[in-house]
Amino acid sequence: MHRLDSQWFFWAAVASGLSLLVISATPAAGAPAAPATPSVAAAPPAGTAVVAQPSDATGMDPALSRDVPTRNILRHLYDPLFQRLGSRQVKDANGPDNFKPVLALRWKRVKPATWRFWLRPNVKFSDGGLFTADSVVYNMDRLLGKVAGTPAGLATLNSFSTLAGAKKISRYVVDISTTAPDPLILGRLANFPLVSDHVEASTLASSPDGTGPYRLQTWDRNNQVVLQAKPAYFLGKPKISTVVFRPIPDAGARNAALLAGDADLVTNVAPDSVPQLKSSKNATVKVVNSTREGVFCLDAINNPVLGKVQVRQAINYAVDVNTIIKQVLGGYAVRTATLVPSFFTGYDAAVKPYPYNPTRAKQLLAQAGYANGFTMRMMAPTNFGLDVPQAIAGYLGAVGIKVNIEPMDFPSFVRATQNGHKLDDSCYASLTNPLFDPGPELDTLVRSGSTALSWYANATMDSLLTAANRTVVSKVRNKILARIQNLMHDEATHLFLYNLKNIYGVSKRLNWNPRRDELIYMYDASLKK
Amino acid sequence: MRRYLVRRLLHALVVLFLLSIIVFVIARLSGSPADVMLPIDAKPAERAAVTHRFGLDRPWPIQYWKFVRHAVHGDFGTSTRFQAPALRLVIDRAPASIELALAAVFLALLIGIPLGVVAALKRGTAVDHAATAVTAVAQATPTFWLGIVLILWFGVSLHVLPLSGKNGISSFILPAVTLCVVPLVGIARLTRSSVISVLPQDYVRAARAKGLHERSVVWRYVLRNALLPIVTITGITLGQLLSGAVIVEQIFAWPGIGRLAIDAIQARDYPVVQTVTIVSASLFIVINIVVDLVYMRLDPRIRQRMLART
Repeated sequence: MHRLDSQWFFWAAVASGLSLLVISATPAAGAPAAPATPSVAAAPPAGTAVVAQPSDATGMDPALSRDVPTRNILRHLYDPLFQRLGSRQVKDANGPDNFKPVLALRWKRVKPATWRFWLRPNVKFSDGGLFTADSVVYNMDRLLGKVAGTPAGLATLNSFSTLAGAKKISRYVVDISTTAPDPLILGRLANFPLVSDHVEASTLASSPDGTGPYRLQTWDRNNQVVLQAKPAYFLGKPKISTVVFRPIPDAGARNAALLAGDADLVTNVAPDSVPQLKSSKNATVKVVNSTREGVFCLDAINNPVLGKVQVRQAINYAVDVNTIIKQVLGGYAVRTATLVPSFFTGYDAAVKPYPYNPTRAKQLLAQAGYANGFTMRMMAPTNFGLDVPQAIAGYLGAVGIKVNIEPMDFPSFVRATQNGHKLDDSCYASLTNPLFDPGPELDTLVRSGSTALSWYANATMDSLLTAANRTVVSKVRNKILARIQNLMHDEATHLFLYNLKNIYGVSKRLNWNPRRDELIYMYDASLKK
Repeated sequence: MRRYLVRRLLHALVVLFLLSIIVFVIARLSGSPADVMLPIDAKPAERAAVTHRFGLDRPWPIQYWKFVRHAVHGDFGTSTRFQAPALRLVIDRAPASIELALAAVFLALLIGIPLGVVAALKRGTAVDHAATAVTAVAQATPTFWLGIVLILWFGVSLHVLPLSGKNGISSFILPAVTLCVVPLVGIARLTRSSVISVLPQDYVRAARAKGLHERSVVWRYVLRNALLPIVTITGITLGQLLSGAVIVEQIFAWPGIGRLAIDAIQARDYPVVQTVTIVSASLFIVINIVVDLVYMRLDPRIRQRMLART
């Protein structure tokens, strides 16, 4: 028996290994069979489009999960009252004409802080329940924490801090009110899909129930989400019958999936991957100006050196942002004069970016009493990348400002900056703004006493921001926003950088165009025959 | 034997208890889930409300006592990120990691043992030098690079194997091959040195003198006695791989607990971080016990020594 032990051990291990592999390849009893998604040497089946994103959905309840990959999936399962029109450049991005009807057919301001919505009749949720004004009231009550079992903070999580409530007027008419006139309320509602009021909210996290054009067929966590088209969708059956969302964290692996034909659309393509994708025979690249801004904050409150406007202006003159865009970002960004992209409401084209002029920078530093420069720290959350912070540090070093970069992960950055609202002199971050309006972002970045990313205090700026947030007449509001941009520029509240472009890899068999708000909505797409 | 097993299990409970305290403290020192969940412009009152909702504003001993009280009933808390039971999330993903680890170890043994035996039997020859060179190159190859290269060759250029995800037997091949390289090198080298140390033994010479075929000598006398250190390294390797091959899971989008752990750490999802750590540690402990039992089976002298200590 002992003589056989080594052979026994070896062959037992071999048999166990083979058995386990066979068992693992066999679907579990009772588990729904995965649809025929491509596995080896084959494009996705006819009628199926595969989207590769960096991460999986965190849940199926749109009020609880606001990250972009989850939002992209849930938009197919749920509908908002209306949807923002594609990439059309307009003066007032949140004006009533910039949205197309979905669950609401028309809308009108009936009081300064109240909008009335006439709803689409005879629309059903997946559970068969009818969508009515009661459904809208329920969703707004959830945001306000009035529904039992609702977690706190949903209004802030979903950008509804001005929401006062909703009131049913009739079966298909509902009013939504804000605490004060809110020029952005339509944009906020366009970004908020509605859930069924006929099921327990606690079930939504794993069992979605909406009116959207697709239903959830399977969710194999961290492997794929498979959506199946609803033939009776009220706006018409989707052209793509099956959409698969696959989480592939590694950017190289996502690109490989596109090149191999295993994915039809990949997100977050890095600039240096573009030539490879463009040269492939079955894929191409699509680029769009996003709402994402590179931001470099300066602590003008706690740091007496950065509190001097000449120093802040010197920092703006010292950094060659155009070269950073070209060399570090591969050209996939657009220089901004302040923090407002050209396609945002209230953009003032008369405000010009600071030119690169290191000589002028040194003069300003000397005027401020820092002819020999000074030392400052820079907090750099690693999720935004370290290339740009290092480039900025290099330019500042050339004019005598020595920068010590402090890399950290994002939660540590939030903890450090929000706990006592301290900033280690400066920080680099990237912010996104799906409302296409600078108001909320400027509140975050330049209002005094803001607990977010503002280390700047100016009473005039505060008054202008308050006026902009409460003015609903767009002509008047645009003038206020223009004054804010001029003041920001003259005061050099930040080191002004750029507006980023989003790069997508797209299969040549897919008809799809990217949106500026980063939403991937396959209902608008189709497959070539 | 029963007393031995009971003693090992009691040791295991002490280890898990101490580990739970360590991971509990470290997780809370790293930040709050409210920092990740809420937008950066959330007000202090809203952050406080979220912190209160998860019970994180209570003193740490009370939080730990609550965690232990629920954990003994199988409730390891609710994921702050996924709003689902943490244990359920880990159990759902553990099979993928276990299967991948077993596949990798299986490949490592299948290739590593014969490679080590051949190198030892042909010691000093070109075959031995070639085997040594191959293992040296394999050891120097970064896992992430190898994974990407395999994807490009077999997935993109040749298009014969899946690139990502878990979808059938063929989807195991590339990640298992990538993952098996490091343990394969260790097993091959250890097999070689272990076989070299056994070859001069008297019982091997006696077996050859009896006229047994060389293959029988190697299988029945040499390898059996050279196996003990290989069993140890196999167990250690399996334990390490079971706790999640993070890099391989990231590259191949493998739905295992390694990725779950990384996402949970980044999101400060305390329940999932704690659950992954405790489950991984438990698997490691079980493997260690199994390795020791196999030891005792293979070598009665070790069995007598271990049981005598009980």
